Formats: sequence, C-alpha cells, structure tokens
Amino acid sequence: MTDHEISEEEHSIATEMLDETIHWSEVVFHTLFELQKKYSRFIRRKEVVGVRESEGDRERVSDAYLYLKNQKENLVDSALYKDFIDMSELRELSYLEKLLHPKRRLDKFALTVAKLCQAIVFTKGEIKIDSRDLISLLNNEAKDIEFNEDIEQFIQHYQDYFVPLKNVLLTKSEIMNIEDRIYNKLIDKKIKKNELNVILTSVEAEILSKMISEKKIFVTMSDDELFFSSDENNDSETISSSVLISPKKNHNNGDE
Amino acid sequence: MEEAHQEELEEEEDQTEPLLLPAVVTDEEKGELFRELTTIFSRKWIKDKTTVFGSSEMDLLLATKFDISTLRSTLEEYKRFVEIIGLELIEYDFENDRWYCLKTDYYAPSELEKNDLIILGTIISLVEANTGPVLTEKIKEKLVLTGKIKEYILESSLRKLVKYGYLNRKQSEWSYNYRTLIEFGEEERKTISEEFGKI
Repeated sequence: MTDHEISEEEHSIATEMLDETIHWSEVVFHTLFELQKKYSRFIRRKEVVGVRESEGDRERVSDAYLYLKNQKENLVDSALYKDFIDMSELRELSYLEKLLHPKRRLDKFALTVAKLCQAIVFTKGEIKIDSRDLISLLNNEAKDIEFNEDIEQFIQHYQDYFVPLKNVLLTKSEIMNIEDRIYNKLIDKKIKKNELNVILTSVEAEILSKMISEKKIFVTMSDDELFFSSDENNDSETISSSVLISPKKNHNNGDE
Repeated sequence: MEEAHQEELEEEEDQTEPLLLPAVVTDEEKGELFRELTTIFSRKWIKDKTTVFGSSEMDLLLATKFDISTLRSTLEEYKRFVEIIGLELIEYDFENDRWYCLKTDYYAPSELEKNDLIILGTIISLVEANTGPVLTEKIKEKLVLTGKIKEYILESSLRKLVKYGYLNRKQSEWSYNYRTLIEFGEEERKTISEEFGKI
C-alpha cells in the first residue's frame, strides 16, 4: 500500500468515527429528552415510578455527559437529574404515608395548622363564682355593646333631666335674672311641695336652694305647703336650706 | 340628696374640662392610659353572636374623649410600647367598624381543638385553591365522604368556627371572617393548602 492509500484509509476511519459520534450524541440527547419529559409528567401527577425502572433509566443516561456538546443539552441533562432526585423523594414520602395511619396524617395536619396559627392574645379563664348575679352581670356585659338603643331610650326618657344640665355655665347676670324670675314666681305665695317641680326648672331649683342657704329667701313649711317670703319671719321656724333635685318629676322636693 | 347634687355638679364640670392632648399628658397619666388600654385590648366580647376581641375605635373615642387623629397617634405610641414585650397591636374590620386587639408573634395557645383545626385547614386550602365558591357539600366531600371526620363533628365544629369569628357563612357558602385573616398570614395559608395536598 502506498502512503496515499494509507492516509485515505485513516481518513475514512476518522470520518466513520465522527459520523458514529454524531449519531450517538443525537441518540443520547433524544433519550435524555424523552426521559426528562416522562419524569416531569409523573412528578406533576404525583405518580411514583418504581425503584427498578428508575435505576434502569438512570444507568441508561449515566454516561450521557460524554456526548453532550452544547449548553442546551447540558440543561436537559441537569433537569433530568433534578427529576430523578424529586422522584426519589416522592417515592420515599409515598412509602412513609402508606406506613402512617390516615388518622395520624390528619393529626399531623392539625398540628401544622396549629403551629402556623399566631393567636390573638386575650385573658382567658373560667368564672368560678356560681351565682345568678354573675349571669346577669355577663348579660349586662353583652348589653354594653349590643344594645346602644337601650341607652338612647334611657336618655330620651329622662331628657327633661338631661337638657338643663347642659346650661351649667351661667354668668352672674344670668344668675341674677333667674333669681328675679324666682322672686316673681314664688314670693308671698303658698305653694304645694309637689307643684314646685312643675313651676321650677332644675336650674331654677338649684338657684333657689342657693338663695335659701344665703338667706335671700325664707321658707316656712306648714303641712304640704311652702310659704316663700323675702323677710325673715321671726314668729315661725324657717327652713335654712333646701335641695330640689331629682330626676323624677313626681317627687323632687327634699327639705332640711 | 345634697351629695347626689354635688356629684352631678362634678360631672357637669368634667364635661366642660378642656380635652388633654398627648403633648400635655404627663408620663404618669400616659402610663395609666396604657395600662387601661392593655386591659381593654385583651378582652373578649360577644357581638351579634360572634366573638370579638379588644375594642372598637368608636368606643375608644367615646371613652378617651380624644379626637380621631389624637387617638390614632396615641395608639401608634402604644403600639411601639407593647412591641417591647412581644405583642402586636392589630387593627381589623368587623361589621364596617375598625377594631383593635393584641396578637403575639411568638406563641399563644389557640382556642381551637384538633378537629376544628383540621376543618379550618381544609376550608383554608379550599379557599386558597380558588376554584369557585366553597360550599358545605364540597367540605363534606373532602372530609366526611372520605371517612376522615364524622358528619356531626364537622357540623358542630363549623358552628364553633363561626361563633369564634374564624368563618362567615352565607347560606351554604363559606368565607374567611376577620380572625382567620389575623391569625393566618398569606404565607401560612399557602403552606396550609400545600400540606392539605399531602393528606
């Protein structure tokens, strides 16, 4: 054989080998691609591939890295290996789950929920005192929030009593005006105790009380009737002070 | 009666007192206010057959006589104050009213028992899955038909969860109430739905 023939033969062998390598790398990549698709599908459906089958697949592609040429092929290879690992985890979990009694799994779930709960803080406790008052007390507590209407009704019912309380800040001239009014209403008149609350408003009653204690008005009481005068009557006993406040209108005169 | 009269006069005087702003509230007064706030925020009430915690903003306004901005700035300060002892001031909406309560980031015993936790976890995972309304039949399908929980236990637990403020029921459709949203953050709810997948 001439040198030329020898070099031609070598060339043809090299070409054959190259063709074979290209063919092989195509086959390997195809295998990798198919397996990666298979495993990702199984993992998505949470289906388990048996150990024997999985090991066989792994062996088939164990030398694949020798034939991989570009980054894309390498990525498919690493994705497949990740799927092998995930599948192995899934398989172990499924074995463990088969071993665990379903009730235990439920308990475990309850524990997980309890662990993830960040509870509201409040004072908790049972009430030990056994009495009926307590029940009414508890009901009242609920009422505080639930029945604002009750409070409104209460205010409405005693409106006459609440409204005058708003006019508290009186100037001196206002007080003098009221004093004059009281003089006009009461002086030298005999008035029954019960009528007094109709005649006077609660502010006037307060001022009257003040006037009596300051001895601007003198009151004489005989039975149910009160006699008001601007001069002290020495013949009879006069009342030194008086309080005329009560939320109810039917009796509001208390004398001392 | 004179005493009663005096008391009334005192009350009237109280009403006319100028309102104190936090700037002029002394440290001692603030300390007392914070103590009272801690007590009121850790209280449990029943409102419209549902458990609520803490106090509504409206009640606080009435009790403190502060205006809204003063109250909120005071609560901001209180928030920083309780952070030191590991508590968190939480605000939540209940029936179109703003409420405040306390929560801990660490550990506090839950009121719920095992079955309640399982059912709540199931409903959380169903709501998080976001596949249409969560109906009673759906819950039963997941828990009763698979033999995990007895039907009467499920029903009593659901009643309890509604009463405790975890769930809302509208006919046969279930949704979160304020307490689930407070006690389970977004991530926690996601974890629960993942865990539910495993059972």
